[in-house]
Amino acid sequence: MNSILYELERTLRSKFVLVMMGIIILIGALLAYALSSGPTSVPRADRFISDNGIFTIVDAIFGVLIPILAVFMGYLTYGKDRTSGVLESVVTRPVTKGQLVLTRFIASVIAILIALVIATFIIDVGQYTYSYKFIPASMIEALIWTYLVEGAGFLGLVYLFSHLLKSQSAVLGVSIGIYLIFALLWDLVETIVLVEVFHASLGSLSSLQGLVNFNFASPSGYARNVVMYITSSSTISGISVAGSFNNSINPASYGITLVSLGVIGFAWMVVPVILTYMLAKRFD
Amino acid sequence: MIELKDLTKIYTRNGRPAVNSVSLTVNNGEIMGFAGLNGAGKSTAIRLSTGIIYPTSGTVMIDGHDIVREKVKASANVGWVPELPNFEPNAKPLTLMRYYGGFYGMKADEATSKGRELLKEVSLEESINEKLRNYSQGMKKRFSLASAMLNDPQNYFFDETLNGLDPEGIRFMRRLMVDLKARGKAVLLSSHILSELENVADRIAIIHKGKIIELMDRKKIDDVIKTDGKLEEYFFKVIGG
Repeated sequence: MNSILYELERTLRSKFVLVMMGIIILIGALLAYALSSGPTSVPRADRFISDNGIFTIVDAIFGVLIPILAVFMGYLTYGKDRTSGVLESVVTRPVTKGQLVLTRFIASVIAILIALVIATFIIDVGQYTYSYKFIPASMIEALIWTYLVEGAGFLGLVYLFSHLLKSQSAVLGVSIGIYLIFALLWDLVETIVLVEVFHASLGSLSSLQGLVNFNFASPSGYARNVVMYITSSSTISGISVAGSFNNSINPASYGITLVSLGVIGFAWMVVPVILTYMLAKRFD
Repeated sequence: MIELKDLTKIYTRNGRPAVNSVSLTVNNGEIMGFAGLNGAGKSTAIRLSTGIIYPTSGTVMIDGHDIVREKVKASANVGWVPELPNFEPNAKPLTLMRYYGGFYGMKADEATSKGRELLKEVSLEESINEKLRNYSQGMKKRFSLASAMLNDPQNYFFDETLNGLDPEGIRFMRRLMVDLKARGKAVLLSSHILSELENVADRIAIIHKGKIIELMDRKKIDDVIKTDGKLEEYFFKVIGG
């Protein structure tokens, strides 16, 4: 137990984890500054930024930032050490490989959580400075949960691939690939699959259902489904905007409910790391 | 005490076992030499014994604890010095000592003070504030040795430890092994430099193509040296070279 706590403390104190936390907090501060810098000529009572608007703005930034930070965090806290052989000098200590996977993963997730809580608090203050209105607690919880799931999902994927690959460069390359496919180009990937494989016509309701389903297959897509749930609008979903879904939707009719978001979010947080844990316990 | 029972490791399907049904016991207060050519299976046997890799079959017991099933208990009494030590390059030695100390339940101050003492013992006190990336291979080996002794384990695995050490380092290692033996520790020392094993080992196991083909006690070692002058000829005779 002591070794697990020590590993947690060490990861949280490592420089690159602190730098990554700092980046999330800094971006939060910049968002807060932007939110607090609205036109002062508008009367106080009219300085209204909708909660949906806040979520949309935050998603535009965090939706890109969190995946790339989580991918690098996964590589730096685990993948690099495992493939370079540095982890061997740790594995011979009284700790199991499984414990090392779990403790480094949990410590990284805690680091992301801390950074998100601080960043969200700063964004809330920025919002209040301008509109004299705090972001509702439920919205804050949704923001933190969404990007925590997204971060943990990408982190877990990099941990998982670190166990399937043998060299540092392969892990780094695949980590970048994970970011490109599951985050940056996810809209494009899912649209191509829907059109080319499932012959869906963009703009139809069935293709929107397809996009929602595909979104659940990526941590970034998951975040987009949460945004759809919060805003009851499909316009957020990148490429799908190219279709005709710029209307309000009823998320529940597409399977986006609190339950589905909770279950799939939890799955993204635990399944990749559990698979990594099992690989670490059974294979070299 | 270190006990290897029917230990086998096959890396690739249909491949030749890197270690093939190896059984070996290193008693407390004993230095067991582990001799073999490059690729004979020495390092694999040691990596299996320290829990770095998993055996295909067989077991390794460290003071009665299975290194796979009771990893934490077994590893608490293992000190390992690899042939090519590899540490976090940007870390400083005392930072790593504190980190490693945490796994043995040592407090940061305790690990720092013990680490400082050990680094002095292995003649690294002048490089204590340098990052490990600036260390030479010999210095890394000395650091590896110091970190292996951090919790004063009962069992030591030295994998080609004498390679890359300067004459002072080699002399230090010889003295250390004699001291460890006197303190009742079990030591498994792998090397392909037979003259080093002749000097310190109580027994020597010769491993070839993954199998132990000869286990020599001290009397036999002395007899061979008396007859041939050194172990080398006998070694090649045994492995058929």
